[in-house]
Amino acid sequence: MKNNDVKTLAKGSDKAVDMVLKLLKEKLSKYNVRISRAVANNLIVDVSRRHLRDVAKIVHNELGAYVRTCVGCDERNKNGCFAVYYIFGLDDYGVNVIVRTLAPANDVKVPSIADIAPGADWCELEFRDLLGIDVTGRPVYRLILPEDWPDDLHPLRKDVPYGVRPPPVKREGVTLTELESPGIPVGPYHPALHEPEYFELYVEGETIIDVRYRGFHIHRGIEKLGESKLTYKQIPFIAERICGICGFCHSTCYVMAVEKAAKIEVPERAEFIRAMVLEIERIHSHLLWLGVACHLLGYDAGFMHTWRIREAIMKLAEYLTGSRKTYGINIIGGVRKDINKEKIQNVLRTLNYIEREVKELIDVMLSVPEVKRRLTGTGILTKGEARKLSVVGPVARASGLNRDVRKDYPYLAYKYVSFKVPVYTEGDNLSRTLVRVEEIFESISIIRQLLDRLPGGDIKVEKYEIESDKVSTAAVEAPRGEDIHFLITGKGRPYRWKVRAPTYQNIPALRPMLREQLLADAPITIASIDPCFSCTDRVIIIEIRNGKIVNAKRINIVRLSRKR
Amino acid sequence: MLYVSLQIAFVILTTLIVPILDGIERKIKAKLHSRIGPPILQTWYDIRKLFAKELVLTRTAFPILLVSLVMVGLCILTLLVIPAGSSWTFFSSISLPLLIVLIASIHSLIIITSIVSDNLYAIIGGFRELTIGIINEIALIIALVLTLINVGLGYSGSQIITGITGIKVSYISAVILLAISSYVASGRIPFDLGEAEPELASGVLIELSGPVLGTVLYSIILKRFIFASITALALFLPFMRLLNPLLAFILFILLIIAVWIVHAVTAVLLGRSRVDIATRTLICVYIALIFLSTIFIGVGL
Repeated sequence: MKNNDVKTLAKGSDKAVDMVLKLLKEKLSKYNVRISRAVANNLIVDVSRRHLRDVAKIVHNELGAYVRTCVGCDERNKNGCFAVYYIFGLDDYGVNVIVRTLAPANDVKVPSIADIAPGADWCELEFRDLLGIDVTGRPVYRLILPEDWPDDLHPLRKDVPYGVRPPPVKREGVTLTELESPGIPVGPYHPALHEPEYFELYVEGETIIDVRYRGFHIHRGIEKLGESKLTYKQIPFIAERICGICGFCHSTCYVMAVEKAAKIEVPERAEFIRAMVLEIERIHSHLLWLGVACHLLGYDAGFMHTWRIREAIMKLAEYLTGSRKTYGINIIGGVRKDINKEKIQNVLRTLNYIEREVKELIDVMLSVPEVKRRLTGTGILTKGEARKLSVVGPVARASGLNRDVRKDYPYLAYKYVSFKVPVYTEGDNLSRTLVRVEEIFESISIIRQLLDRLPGGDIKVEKYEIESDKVSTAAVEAPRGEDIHFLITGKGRPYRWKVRAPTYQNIPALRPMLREQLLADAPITIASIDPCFSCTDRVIIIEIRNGKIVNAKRINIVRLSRKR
Repeated sequence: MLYVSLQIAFVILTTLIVPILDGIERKIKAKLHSRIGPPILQTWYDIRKLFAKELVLTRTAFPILLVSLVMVGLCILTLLVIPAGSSWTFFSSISLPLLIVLIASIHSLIIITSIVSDNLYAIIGGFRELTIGIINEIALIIALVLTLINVGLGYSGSQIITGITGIKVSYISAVILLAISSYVASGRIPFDLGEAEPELASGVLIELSGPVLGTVLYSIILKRFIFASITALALFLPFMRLLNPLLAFILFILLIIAVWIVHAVTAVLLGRSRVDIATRTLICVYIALIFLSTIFIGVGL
């Protein structure tokens, strides 16, 4: 494939898919694989466990794909096996390569590819926890389930009913030696974190030498709920509640996955409205982040003024959708609410106000010496690390990766508008800030263009049928990065619904970002990925009472807090 | 008798109005933030509420309570040493060394408060205070001496005699040095590193609650008033002998309030520094200003 051919290619088009298909057949010819086309821009490569690593090496290293996520699925009632899907993205073509391998029910294990593609590290541990699919050739530990959850109970298996509450398993505590526990605890409840997560920072003086992370404190079981209790039409409601900031991205991502699987032609007007609301959500999220960043840097004037400006965008959202947040207008086949001329004028007026105010605020904010000095050169993520960890969104773009789902995997009405994807090469906190700042202005421009070209017609499709056993993926460029939903259709509801939020992909990058940094910069560096833990944690909450394995610092905190 | 009454009135007034000044500061900040903010008496309400809470004396809280009570005592003693706009002072010729000793003691006690605690955040906060404190205290002492040299200060019995005949460049540079070091000592942003909330979760204050926290917070506000008074005093010294004692007292109080407001506005305009950046910046600024002041005095400017 010549580079020029790729550059002129319409990403995600049939031609692009055919080109990747040809390329895969050529590269994987010596392995026993079956390559087939799934819905839309997805190709499925069926490979035996023996050749999984070889195929992953070729797709990841030779074709330059990145790991979007991996998904385990209990397919015993279909083919007697557990299936694992590794979803690779080829940005240059806008095509997903889904590598599928099966593990028989009596030998539930697959070889790990985390050493080849480190971006698959967490999702492998996730399907190990939730489906009991063992991963060989790598260190394994419990990532998602609480410590007192039974070893042999895997909640996403189809024979485990929804709502099961097993009695807690008692385990022996672990005593850490003095050498093992010199860390500074940040979390699970800490003013620098706005949701419960735990970072243990190991320091020499005030310099961080290593970081340990423990997350997944607020599991909610949303995937299980979608697969066992809700119907296709009910899921957008719960999908929008995955996150309080980018909820509309999740519901859009879900409905797009269903629409692709069912081959529903969504009216163009609905696609424009969805894209518009997605951009409103991006402006809202970035303004919120800027405010939080200012607060973490002790510049509360910036914090308060950012949120003052953000108020206008929330009023705008309320005017268009009826809600300040969690808009609730997405349905399969379109949107619930239309917009009229009066609303368009109001949107344009508000956008002018926001643009003017944000410009002024950013000029002032970046002229505050402490803010600029503390953002510059801190929390550096190199391009190599960013590529290796498959980071997404502003984190990737600030480290020199020109990656944006709106351009790379075009969806909704983004193909009708022109916009710039800001990319910086420094990889520091300032670059991530500037990427978000530029994106605010790009989003304003996108909304104006969408309003200018808004087509007439219906806003939803009333009748459609959803066939079973279709494999589909959909991705949305959420404010924090790529949001991806994987779907296998079932009867009346998804057979498998997997959500991968951007924070899930970006948190592992915090380790290289925090190393060799000063403790004072830890909060802004953690915040610079704009972490959203409610997006990331999605299983079941269990209160741990007795016999749990906890680290020494938590014991210390509890003891100190109770000591009189 | 009038001087004694004014000095005592100054101390009593200060102890009563500092929470209100803090309330005004919060209101100013809120105005600049485009928000309504708490009522002016909110700091009083906060302190009252903290004192109404149960006194929990843990192993570390008891020494902290003692230290914070001593701190309040030292703050009041410091207020007695600062001449309240008049040329009279309680401690005559020992007032400058005494003032320096008292300021250093107040800072040391704050650091002791954090080191007594075995909380990691408090200890880190304490060491940050110590780092900034060592640099700033030296600058503050030099600034005080340079300012007094400039105004040609001398003592006669319990009277301060200023020999200033006009405003000099060296006086201005010394006052700038004093104003900066007083601001840094007041522990406001960008130099509130010991309490830096996002990373240290209130640092030196993290283990405190109820009346102990109330006492420490009150002493911190008193400390801020003291440093605002020192800057105000430096600005006021040349005019001290020109005014009658009562008018001087009123003007001095108003000047302190003005300095406090300037401090409050400055804190809104800046972000929090980092311990390495803060120390580097302060060392550079202080060396430059001390050098300039000394040169100006040397050449008689």
